[in-house]
Amino acid sequence: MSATTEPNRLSLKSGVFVSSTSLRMIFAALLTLLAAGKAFPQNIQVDATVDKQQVALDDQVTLQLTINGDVSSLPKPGQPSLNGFNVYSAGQSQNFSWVNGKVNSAVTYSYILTPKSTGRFTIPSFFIAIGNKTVSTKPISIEVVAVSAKPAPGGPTPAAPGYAPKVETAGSSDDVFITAEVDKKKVYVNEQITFTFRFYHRVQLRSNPQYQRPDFTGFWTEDLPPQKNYTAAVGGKQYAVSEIKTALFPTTSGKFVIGRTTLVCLVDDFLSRDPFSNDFFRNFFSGGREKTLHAAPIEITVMDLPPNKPSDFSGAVGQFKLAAKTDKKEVQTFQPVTLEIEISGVGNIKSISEPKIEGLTHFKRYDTISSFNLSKADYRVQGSKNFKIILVPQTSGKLTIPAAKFSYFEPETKTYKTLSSQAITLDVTPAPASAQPVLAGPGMATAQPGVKVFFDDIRHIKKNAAPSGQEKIIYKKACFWLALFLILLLNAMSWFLYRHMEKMSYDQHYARRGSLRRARKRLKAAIKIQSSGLAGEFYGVLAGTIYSFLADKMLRTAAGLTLREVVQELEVRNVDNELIKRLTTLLETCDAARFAPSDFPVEERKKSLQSAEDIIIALERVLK
Amino acid sequence: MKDMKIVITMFLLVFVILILLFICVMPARVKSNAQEKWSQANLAYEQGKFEESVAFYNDLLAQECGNADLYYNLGDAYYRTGKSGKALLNYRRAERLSPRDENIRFNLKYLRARINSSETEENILLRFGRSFFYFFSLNELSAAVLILFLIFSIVMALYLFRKISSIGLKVISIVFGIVLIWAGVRIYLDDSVKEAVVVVSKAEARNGPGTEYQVIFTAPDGEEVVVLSREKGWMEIGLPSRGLKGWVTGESVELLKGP
Repeated sequence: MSATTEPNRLSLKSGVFVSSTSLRMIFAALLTLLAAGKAFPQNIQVDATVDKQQVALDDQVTLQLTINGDVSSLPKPGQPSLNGFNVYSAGQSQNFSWVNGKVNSAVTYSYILTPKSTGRFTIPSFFIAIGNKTVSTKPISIEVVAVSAKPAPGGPTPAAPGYAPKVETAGSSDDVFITAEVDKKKVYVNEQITFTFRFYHRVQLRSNPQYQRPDFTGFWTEDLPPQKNYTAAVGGKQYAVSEIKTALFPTTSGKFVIGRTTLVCLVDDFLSRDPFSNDFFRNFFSGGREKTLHAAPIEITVMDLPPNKPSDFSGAVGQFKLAAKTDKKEVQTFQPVTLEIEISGVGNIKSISEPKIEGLTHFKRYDTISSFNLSKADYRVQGSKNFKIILVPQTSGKLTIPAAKFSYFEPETKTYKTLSSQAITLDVTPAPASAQPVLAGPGMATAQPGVKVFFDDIRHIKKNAAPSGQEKIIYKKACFWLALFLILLLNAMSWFLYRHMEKMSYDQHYARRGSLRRARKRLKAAIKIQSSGLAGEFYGVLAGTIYSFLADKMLRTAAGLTLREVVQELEVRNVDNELIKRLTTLLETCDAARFAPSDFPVEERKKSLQSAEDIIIALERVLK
Repeated sequence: MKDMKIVITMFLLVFVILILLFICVMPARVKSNAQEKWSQANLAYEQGKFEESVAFYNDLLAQECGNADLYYNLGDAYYRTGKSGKALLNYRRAERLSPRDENIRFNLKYLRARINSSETEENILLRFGRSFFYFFSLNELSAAVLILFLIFSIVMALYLFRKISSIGLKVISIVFGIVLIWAGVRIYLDDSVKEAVVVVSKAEARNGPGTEYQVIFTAPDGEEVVVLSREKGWMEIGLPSRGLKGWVTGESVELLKGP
């Protein structure tokens, strides 16, 4: 039951008061262990021990159940149900070791048994099923003997719940009553409040009373076992008192109400002068009367912690000590060292967060394993929290592990205190090259017999340059398709250019296409000078236009073309004689105008231009 | 005169295409605080504050700063917090962008081995073919298509105008043809197959989209599935390797490629 102080052992304790009615339901095989890893053959032992085999009715027995195994997580067992005893869970301690990849863990569950009546009782076997194998403990027999009655006058006397002191009357309202109180009503956040519940009775109870915990919203609760039983005098009457305490830690500031506490009990509904002289049959057949008792709600004011918190303060309130040590002072590079930091003291141990260590260079740091050890002596929640940090030195020489820092608030002095551990210096010698562990997959291990694989894990994160923006899938971008379209366009253009150049070199008709368009363009130029320019110039343009047009049509050059050749060619192509005559007339007029000194009036020029246009259109139709 | 104009336009077009190619391949603009967030996330991871680093990495993703390294680190951080499905999902996203990265492949293989105890046996030829088919990333293939198409067009033009012999054109045609088909099939698969990963500890697949239907099978965290259809917040998933189909709630799987 006491906290283990052995090094390398992580202890975990918690206490729970268990109402005995719920225990009835949990009897059976008690423990079922779910197989955790399939690779390892499992090896699990279970052991149950008691601190004494003979016990007085007003005393208690400690039952310890130890489960030992080579799996990393052992499950929490069900609560044992034992006839003849009230059972309280008094916490658990856990021991976990990991050596060369082999896991070994042990869990010890402690229970406090208080006898209900005298006689011989047997604690049944506990079973754990692993696959198709079952491990069990030996049954333990316990003898409960009558209490050596010596009531201490004045002070409270411990008594078993089944044992009631002398009772005079039954059934009246003040025969049974409950009280609920707290030790302080104004506290700081995370400071302990002790909630005390007392059940006074001076009548025989038909069954175990059912205590219903009030609503503790806004608080972190911690049960404070064991239940205390004693007798006390209230208003001149002797009462048997059962007392249950609960530690409360407010989580935030403000006003909170601890709800109404309720207790349901079954009392005898007839008079009985002496509980020991009850008629057996009357007692047996009587059903009793159910009574529901209430205690008033309690208001608590939770104050915020004062400002000027230290930077590393993380909410711890109480009184603490800090210590740090390593498992070795001399180590080789790449060999792990365990740094153990222990915070111990009075306060909400469970909620303490890891102390800060700054400037831990030259070490590779692995995950922290934390464990805590809780004790509830004097109804104050206290204990220690242990942080194990595995460090692997990356270089050799004298390396310093800097001091760990931890801050807390002390409610008594209303001040913040900062603790600092000693810095630890390690002597790191270079490891021989072959001993450096290579963290790699199993494939590499078989390839090189010299490489030992210690750990099978994912690869470490990458620390390259920061991401330079969203890397998108290219084919979903518009520019991809636009680029594709433009390349397609480029192809089309080069194909068009190719075709064009091919035709230009092989196809004379293609090369000279658009002769009509060109002729019209030249005629337009002629219109510009028809009224202003000299007649010779105008008719020159007119004749040039017609000759160029005919040259394109006849695939000849305009310069070498004569009127006679034109007429001949047109006759060959079966052009209408009328048209040839008109053309001849026009061209002769042009010649005459170009070389004759006389001027041609504007009307004459217009007529010639009209005639030229008509002839070109007619020829375009005929000369395909 | 006119021919010269066409030739100049073509040269300009090639220039425009080159600029577009560059825009396609370049990632988006760098966010100003990305470097700071990235360092914070990595530091949190190294200090063992994995939840915190997950949050930082996700912040970066929300700011559109996702690349293969970020997805990889996020996968690592998720793995450390015990979320195998989320880890696998992000490794897959990293692999999609950077398929030959040794670390990504290692972690993916490691995680898959942890999730599926019995790995499906695959023909060695099939496996080789598969790894060859997925050797290049989609982006690499897409970029290759654009570049090869441009080279092909230029070679084609040079050939047409009698500047080079036909051998160059034949070689580039074959290479371009192969890459075009390869990229086409990859893009088609990427676009049509909706891959997803189970991200809850146990996804219950039912016979229809609703809780009133019978559960027909369950898939573990990290199981890789294909989403076949969607209806009222339910997704029809398929496990092609086992021939199973069923409906799961929308939040139990996460799509690899976004909605």
